[in-house]
Amino acid sequence: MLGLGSFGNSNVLDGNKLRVFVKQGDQTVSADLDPSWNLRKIKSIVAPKLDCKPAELKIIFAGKELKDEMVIQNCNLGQNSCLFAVRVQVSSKKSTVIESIEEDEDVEGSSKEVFGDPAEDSELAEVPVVGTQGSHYFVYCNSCESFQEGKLRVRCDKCLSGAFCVLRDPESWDDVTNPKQVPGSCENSDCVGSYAQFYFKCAGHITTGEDDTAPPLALIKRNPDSVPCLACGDSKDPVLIFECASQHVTCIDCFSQYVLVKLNERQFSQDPEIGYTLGCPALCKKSLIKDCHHFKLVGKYQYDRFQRFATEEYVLKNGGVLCPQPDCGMGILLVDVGCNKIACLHGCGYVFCRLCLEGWHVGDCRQESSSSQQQPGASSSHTYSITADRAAQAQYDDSRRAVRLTTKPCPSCRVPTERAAGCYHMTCTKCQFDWCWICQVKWNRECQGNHWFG
Amino acid sequence: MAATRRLQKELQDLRSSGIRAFRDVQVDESNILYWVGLIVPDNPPYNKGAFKIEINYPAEYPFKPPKIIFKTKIYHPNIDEKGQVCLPIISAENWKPATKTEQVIQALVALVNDPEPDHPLRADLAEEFVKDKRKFIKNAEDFTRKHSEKRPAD
Repeated sequence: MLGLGSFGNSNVLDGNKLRVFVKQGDQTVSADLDPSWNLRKIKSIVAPKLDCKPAELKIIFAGKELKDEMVIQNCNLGQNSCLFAVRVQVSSKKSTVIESIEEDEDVEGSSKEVFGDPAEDSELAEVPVVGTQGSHYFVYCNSCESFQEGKLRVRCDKCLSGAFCVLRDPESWDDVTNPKQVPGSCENSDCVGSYAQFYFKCAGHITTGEDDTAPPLALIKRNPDSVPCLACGDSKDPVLIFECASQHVTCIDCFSQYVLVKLNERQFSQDPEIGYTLGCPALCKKSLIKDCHHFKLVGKYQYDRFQRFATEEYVLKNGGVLCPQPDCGMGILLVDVGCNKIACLHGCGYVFCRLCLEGWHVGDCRQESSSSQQQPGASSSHTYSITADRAAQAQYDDSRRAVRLTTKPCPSCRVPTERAAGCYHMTCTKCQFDWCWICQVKWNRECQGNHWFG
Repeated sequence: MAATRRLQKELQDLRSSGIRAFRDVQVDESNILYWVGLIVPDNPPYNKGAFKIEINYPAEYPFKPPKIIFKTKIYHPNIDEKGQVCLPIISAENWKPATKTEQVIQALVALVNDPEPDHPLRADLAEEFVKDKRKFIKNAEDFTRKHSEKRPAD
């Protein structure tokens, strides 16, 4: 299921020359290649610089040996790619190993110039199948602010150097995303690292360095069989495939709309292991999205909302409260669960009653508050002045009044609920409790018989 | 918008499939979210007439279900005086975005043809349906004759 992709298209620059680096042991040489040349020609150019004969060289790129008859332009090399050379005579096991390298790394290349060895500080590794068209990986790129094709890279899990040889290709997403799955050896003499660590880079822009990484979106895949989107019916490529047994498919646009609809209704699920997430729209079991980076597809503004909602749900599920002040909303986890006087210490400083969420008061909560006359700061002042704060507060009071007049609380979780249409059988959008709008109790046969539809 | 593309496709499919029990589908060019059509049941007592319905699709369709309202009065345990119908396939809890309008219509036609007195919207009609079927049929036939639309000629 996991196709190992290429590194992106070769970007052949001016004069059609491609500059690459060839590394053998401590030696690194550069070569300007013509894309129409084959490997034999490259070996004849590189061998003298490495002090050996062309026939002794074995050239490895991205985990694969490049054979003599292969032509450069078919090898998916990029500007600044680094090839590894191995001397065949030396019957070292190394010849079966991989190599790696870096490719289209940092054209400004300041670090390379400084260290004099362009390949050394930027390796990378790769495991793609040479010659494959199109990436099989997608990432969310924060620079491009969109999903992009990705490039798989590997480095030593100990020293994080790219000079690392893997003993086998990764065969699944588990290999790529879980630690210590793929063994190998670190080429740095002072490092004993023996496992590969994979990471991804965006193929949509010229990399700005080794830190320019991007999270993979494992559910986005190529759609070679043109499976139609379950929502719009169009066959798109790529698509998002849910992890349910049916492997339901949506196009990226419909997935974004699905996330938005669920976000607007706050109907994400709170999973104890995964957190705040969504399952397959076809309601399949075991289909929850495990990596929340997929929700970045809805854009930064909506993703921020997602994060805020997730945090709020977490706070509420853990017995905390949200500061009721407009424009605050700080989540407050309670230290003393018996106390009803809450101060928003890390937020706006508002001191309020945990039960009625009005300003702190002594005694019982008021049933129907005329809160606009009771604002902190306003009560002690006899002069009327219009301030932005007060204006905002007044607006907020109107909203609260409207909420009070148009809603009834869910009998289970107390969330204010509006009944827009339909029958009197309510299902709480927050806690899923079934209740009767008229009786305000758990929905029962009597409600169904007497006033289901009024 | 996913809703527009999807509904254009569904409308085309629905018209070309020619379901006999759902005719005269009309959609305003300027608002594809609102459909009107004629339910033509096969079973007595409803096979004496036809019933106009409207289908309202939310802008978030197909991630939210359509709503169906009967515009023609009908004497039926599962359809109330306001034309509201309780159809599980389009309830919020059961709705699946892959469900097509054609399937919804088929479920609706099946419900009209064979009332489900166990989940009534009108308890009085459900009781009559269960306890005195003959009377129910007669009342429903009279009601249909009086209030329903004319059935298409073919």
